Amino acid sequence: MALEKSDLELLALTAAGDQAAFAQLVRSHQSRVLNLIYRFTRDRQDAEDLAQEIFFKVWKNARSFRGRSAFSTWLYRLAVNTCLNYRQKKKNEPEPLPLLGDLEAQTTTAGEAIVNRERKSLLDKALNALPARQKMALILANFEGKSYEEIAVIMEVSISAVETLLFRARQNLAAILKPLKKKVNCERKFF
Amino acid sequence: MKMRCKKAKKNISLTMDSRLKPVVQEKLQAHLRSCPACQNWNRQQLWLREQIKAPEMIQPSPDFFAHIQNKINKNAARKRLFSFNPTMLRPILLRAAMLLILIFAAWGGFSLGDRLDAPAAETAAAVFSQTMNLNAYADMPAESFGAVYNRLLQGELQ
Repeated sequence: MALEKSDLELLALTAAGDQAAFAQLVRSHQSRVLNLIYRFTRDRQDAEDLAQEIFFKVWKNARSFRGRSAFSTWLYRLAVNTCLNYRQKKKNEPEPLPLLGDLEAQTTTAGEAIVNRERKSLLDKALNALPARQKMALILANFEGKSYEEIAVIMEVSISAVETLLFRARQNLAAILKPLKKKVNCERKFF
Repeated sequence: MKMRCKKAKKNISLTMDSRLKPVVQEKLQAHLRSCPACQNWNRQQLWLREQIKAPEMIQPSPDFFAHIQNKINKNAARKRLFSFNPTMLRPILLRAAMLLILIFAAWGGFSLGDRLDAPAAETAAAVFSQTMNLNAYADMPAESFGAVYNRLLQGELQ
């Protein structure tokens, strides 16, 4: 029975040019990386492109990995930096259209569909309006379930900076979404 | 000591990630009981947490790895194209440079050595004249300091 190789073993083989080991490494992390980026970009195609870019960076820089942190932390750091750079590049481009996910599919009435669509659109816009680092901290804490310590290592900031980033993100979101909350309350009364 | 609203809001954010110590948590609860504005903020944050749910998970496309492999191959091809490595030539270049310096130094030595060779003086007076370079001011105008000094050296003036 073949033993599962650890990430570090696979990375060492990758550094030596072993494409099969690299493929295994990609397979075991691709979904997590792709979804992290997708939560940040909200664009499937961009998320795929960036995820591929990140794994290409892993291939190129496998030798430079010193092993001071876990491979997954290193990978997250690569992903976070790539996302932040992406946001910087996209700053002057128009915002992508909001995604309409399963929320709409679960709805039963046309009225609810409209409310949900609007709500989702506003939520997407609110998240997109957050400064990149606040948004990333919020994604890592809320969706990826990372601890403050892990976020601090990934984003290369102090723990108190993480606390501040998350607090400001929530404060900004509340301010942006105030109109939505009022609207939802009105709709509740209406339906 | 009473907790201020700004601190309370920050602590509400920390509570949402289970980061607050029990003692501070109690203080926060006490503050919340007495502060309607912070109560409202707390409700708002709980509502927000409910609203912002993770979007649906996406799966990588079937040719996800193929694209990465393509990038790797392109990069390797580019590397091969520009594979000239000057460090490989370093020992040869170093030896050639040393040889050139040697040749140049030898040539310089020979040519400058010839030029600096002064004709041997035959008499003591000639040796003195050559050493003191007494004719240095010979071409100077008659009344110039150089000419007067020259005449002084020649013993024409007292």
